[in-house]
Amino acid sequence: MKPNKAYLYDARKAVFFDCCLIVVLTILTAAVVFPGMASAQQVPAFSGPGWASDGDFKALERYTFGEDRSALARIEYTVNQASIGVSEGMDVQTLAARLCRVLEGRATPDARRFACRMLKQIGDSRAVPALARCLKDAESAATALWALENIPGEDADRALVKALDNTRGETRIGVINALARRRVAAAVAPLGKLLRDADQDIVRVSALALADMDTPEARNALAEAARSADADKMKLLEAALIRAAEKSPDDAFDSWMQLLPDEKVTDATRCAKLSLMIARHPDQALALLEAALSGQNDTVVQAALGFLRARQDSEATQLLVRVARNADLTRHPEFIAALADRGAPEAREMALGLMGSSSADAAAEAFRTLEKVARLDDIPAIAQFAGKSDPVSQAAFQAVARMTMEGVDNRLVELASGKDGSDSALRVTALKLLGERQAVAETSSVMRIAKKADTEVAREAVKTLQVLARPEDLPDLLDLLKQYADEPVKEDVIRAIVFVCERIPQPEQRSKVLIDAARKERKKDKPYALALIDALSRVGQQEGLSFIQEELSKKSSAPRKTALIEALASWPNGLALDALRGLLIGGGYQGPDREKLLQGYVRLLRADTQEAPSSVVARYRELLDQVVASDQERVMLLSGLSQVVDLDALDLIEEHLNNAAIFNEAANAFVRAAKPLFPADPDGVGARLKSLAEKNIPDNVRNQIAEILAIANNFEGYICAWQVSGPYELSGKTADDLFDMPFPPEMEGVESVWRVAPMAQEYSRPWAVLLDRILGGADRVAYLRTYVWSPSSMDCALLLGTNDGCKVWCNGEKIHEFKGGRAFEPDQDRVTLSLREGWNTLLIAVYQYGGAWAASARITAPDGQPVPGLRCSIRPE
Amino acid sequence: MDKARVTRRGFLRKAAGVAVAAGGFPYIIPGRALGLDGAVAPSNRIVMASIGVGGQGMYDTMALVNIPDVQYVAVCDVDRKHCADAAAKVSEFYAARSPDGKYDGITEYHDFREVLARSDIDAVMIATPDHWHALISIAAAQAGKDIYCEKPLANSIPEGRAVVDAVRRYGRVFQTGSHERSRDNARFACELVRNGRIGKLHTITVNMPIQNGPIPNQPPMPVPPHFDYDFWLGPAPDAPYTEKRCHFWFRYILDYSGGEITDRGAHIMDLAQLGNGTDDTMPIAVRGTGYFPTDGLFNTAMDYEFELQYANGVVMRGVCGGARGVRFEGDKGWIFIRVHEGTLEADPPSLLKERIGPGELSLGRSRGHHVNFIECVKSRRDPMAPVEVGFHSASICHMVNIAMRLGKPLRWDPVKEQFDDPAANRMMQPSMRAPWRL
Repeated sequence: MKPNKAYLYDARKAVFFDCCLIVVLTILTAAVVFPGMASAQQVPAFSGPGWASDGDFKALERYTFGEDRSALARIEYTVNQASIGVSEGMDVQTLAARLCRVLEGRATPDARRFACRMLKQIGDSRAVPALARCLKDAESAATALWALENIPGEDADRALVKALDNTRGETRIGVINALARRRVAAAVAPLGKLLRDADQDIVRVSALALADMDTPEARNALAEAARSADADKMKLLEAALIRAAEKSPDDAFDSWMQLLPDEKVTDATRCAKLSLMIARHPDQALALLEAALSGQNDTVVQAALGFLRARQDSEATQLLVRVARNADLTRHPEFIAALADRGAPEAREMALGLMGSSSADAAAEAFRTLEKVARLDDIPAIAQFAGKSDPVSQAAFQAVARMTMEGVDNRLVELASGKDGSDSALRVTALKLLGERQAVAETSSVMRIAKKADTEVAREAVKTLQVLARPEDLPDLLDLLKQYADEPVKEDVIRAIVFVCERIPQPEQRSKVLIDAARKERKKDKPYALALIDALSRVGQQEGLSFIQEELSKKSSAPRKTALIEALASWPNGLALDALRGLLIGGGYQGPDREKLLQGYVRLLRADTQEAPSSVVARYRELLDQVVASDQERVMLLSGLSQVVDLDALDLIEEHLNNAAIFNEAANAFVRAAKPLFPADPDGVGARLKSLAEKNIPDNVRNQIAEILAIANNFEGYICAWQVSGPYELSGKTADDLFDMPFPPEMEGVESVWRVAPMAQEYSRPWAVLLDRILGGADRVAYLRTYVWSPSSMDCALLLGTNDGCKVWCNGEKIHEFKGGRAFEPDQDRVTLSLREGWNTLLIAVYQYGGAWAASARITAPDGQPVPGLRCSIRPE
Repeated sequence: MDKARVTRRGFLRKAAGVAVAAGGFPYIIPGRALGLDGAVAPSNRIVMASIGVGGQGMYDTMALVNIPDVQYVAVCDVDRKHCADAAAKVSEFYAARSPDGKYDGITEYHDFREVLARSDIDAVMIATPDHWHALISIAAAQAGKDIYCEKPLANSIPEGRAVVDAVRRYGRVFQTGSHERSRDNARFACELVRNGRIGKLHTITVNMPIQNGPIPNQPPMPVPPHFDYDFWLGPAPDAPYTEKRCHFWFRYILDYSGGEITDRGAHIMDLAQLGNGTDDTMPIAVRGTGYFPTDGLFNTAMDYEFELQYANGVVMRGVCGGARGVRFEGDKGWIFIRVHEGTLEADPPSLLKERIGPGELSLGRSRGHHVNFIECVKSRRDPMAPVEVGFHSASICHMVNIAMRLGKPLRWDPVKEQFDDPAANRMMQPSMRAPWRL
């Protein structure tokens, strides 16, 4: 378990005397290392597992992976502290001796490996004999090598050289690698012999080891092997030869390069050779690069270009210009990009020439280059390519969209206005680019274009205004709406108006301009007046809703009344629920108007999740009892009702199973509604499903019932009857902050909204409440509640798993908490649960720090067995 | 293609043979496999393979597969199930775009060296566990492949240095998978910092909450038949197989990774480096304290606080909590980047409406981290997170872990790449099980 810091501070008190020396030393050293941070907040220390004792080493000898490792933890801690000079009782030498004894005794393989790891950190020459013996033991040889390769001094060198003869297989390879790391001169001769070994692995690592040795003798051995190597052998040597070349003396470098003839080595090695030659012969670097860049080997050309990019001098730029002029740029457009990055003016001219290339790759690279080097005059030519959706056009579009030079927006406005004879397609592209560039300063110019252009260009201008326009532009947009109120552009203008209204920070102000305009048009049923009503509904604010309700209460023309009803019926949020209900219940509407109102109401009931499920079900009942006029409408309502996860919804649907005319549809809705509820009440819901299955229902419905009932096989004794409340969150507060705050479900006398926790999609674990799927989000808390019926007063075990933190209450008393983030594991916490006879309330707060969010719980007897007679329900009987 | 199970030693021997035979490898890409949508000519496509196709590997693979300029031909994983799933998913992608609805151009491998031996492959994506990153990256560079490698760049500082040297020596393009760097918002925030819009930067705070906690010791389990566990361990020490040692969970075990510090730290501290303008160097001192669980399988730090001191006077503080991200604090304001969401907060809030002027430092923009890699493979530019950047960011994470494990403030020499403390230097050295070596 992850302790919180408060707990850790308490824990520190317990080991205060042990740790005080460490703290003092740490603070003193910190003052030296962080001289400018004396006033900075001190980093608090976490407590360690404590110092190791003799008994811990005994325990270590018997250790097998998977068992309690507290003894190992203390040894590790003690070794770690000893390595920085802090000890209590056992210093480095004592510890190393104890660890060697583990290696020499009859310790388990896991214990021996652990001892070797510790000796890697603190071992010295006295540990070498014990470690060297381990090299013969396949199970601890690898970790013994780690320790040996880190122990300073010649004893370890000698042991490793000796081991070259005494070891085989991977251990021998490890010995060679360790000798290389330590650069043991005495190993050069034997390693040289190994270059002729029949085992290719040995040859490869021996060559690398000799390269790392960096001595004349080692280089001689490598060179001798390279001279006689055929192409196959060279594959084993070339990486080592490159590595040795990096370190070779200047006077030997050129002859070393001759050991790696181009025809014998890979392209990659040729690249490495080139980089080494450039580094060693800076005076020849340009010539080497020019030769490489002019060659036919693409791998080498690419690498050479990378090496050239590292140089900033003008000679390199001139070289690149020369190479690019002679190159097939459709094959190597990267040359232009490199020229552009260096600010070479030739890049623009070459990129313009490549715009229409048959090579899509070259053309796209040309546009990417022009983004940086184009002039204002080039914009029309580039924009000509930017009007389609293929990758090259997209590259052209992005090039202009991302240009940073002054005047781009002005040039685009000129193009969009068509003053220079641009055709419609180019004008549309220019407008799209202005939107992409978010050229807010050009809003008025775009507005003018929108007012004067033909339909295609005007529509695009209005779409651009959807991005650019700000609240102060609303009057102009209303003028546009008036102008286009009976043309196809109208829809785009309304969207622009809605977007702009949504940019007004104060929600209560968002509808104001539209309401003012609509009031002026109150007596009219012209397209403009009706479009204003449409726009008001899409903005979706209370002020607009009040205006529409007020207008509906007055006498108005038929077209206007229809527009007002459509506005209400298409309202985007739950604000309109009560208005729609009022009109449906007592409004006296009939025919198409009533149909629209009913459809709008049901749409909002399906979408709006703010109301408690029982309240939503009540609304459906009211509709079914008082409003519906046909079976078709009844089916529509039952379909909506089946999405409300609540037992009341199931009851209401069940009532309609008696209606023979819609029996199949009602049965379908009943099964859909029952599915997420089943784990919460498997007995009750299950019995009702079984009863339905006995009736004459379609096969697909019967199959669904069987599938749901089968879920009961996967409950595995976990609690599945949960109600959930929340999420609860506070702006700016993290889950850690929320942990210390009470929310309504845990507050006495405060009402909270509860809904049934729907079953997880994961049928194999229906008992896992996956809050991330039900509620989502981060930095929040949700509460789970269930009622537990106990046949008598008793103590049980509550086995709990949560991601992340949790608090648990039984009958109002807090019995457990875990603060912090963690992965979800069933049964990760075990808590004693004191139940009284009859019904008990179990409440769990589950905190969400981010990512996954889940919980599970089950109750057992203290010995882990099921408790006879215990049952859980979402509502006590 | 399903390869027979081969031992590690066998692999080494076999790879030598493969390398010899590389020129004659019969991997001819079927014509129908290339230019499927006609948007990018086959000759202009970057031929790619993925090495490591678990959760993150599949994410990266599909991000790359979706780039029109990329043609996938192989996937590789030591878990045959992962490998088969990946091959099926990539094949499904291409089949959906093929005229006959079929595609069989993806070869499955279980040894990365066989992938690297294919001469038709231009670039590889590496998303193995961390302890493999350096070895495969170096081998890929030596095989002439360009490389997209997941963060952290390497599992130790010396391994990272070896990757940098190999990539530069062999002239390869290398993108570290720290994709937060490619977000426009993050780059904009760093531009604001670098251009002095929050005044003089003095403190960087990195919030790194942990989602997963310690778990109890786990029992040894039989190795699943589809999983080559010995190869999965590779350079790491022998240890009995247990499910939670492998795949996603490896990141919480020090033999294979550095926990949250190197996992998300390699994103968050990477952005701190970008905003601080210290991509080319590292801090000069570190201290910290961490809670390293000792009684279970996971042993990386599960709670921590640390501080790093830069030569430019900036202090970076890290905590295990808060909203995940990085906050730059100057003497005139602050900016916070929410990592993984890319949203920004600032004080004053008007900072976020500012624009970077023509004369100011611009950090450029990326068309997406994976797209940026492919563009750079073509242009031979350094991508958004080149090898040195990935090395420095990962190394800072390792510095923090070492200081916390030793419980001692340490000084760091960014030029010599050494601590001032022998125990820390000893702890920093990677140990590799033979036959693997740097």
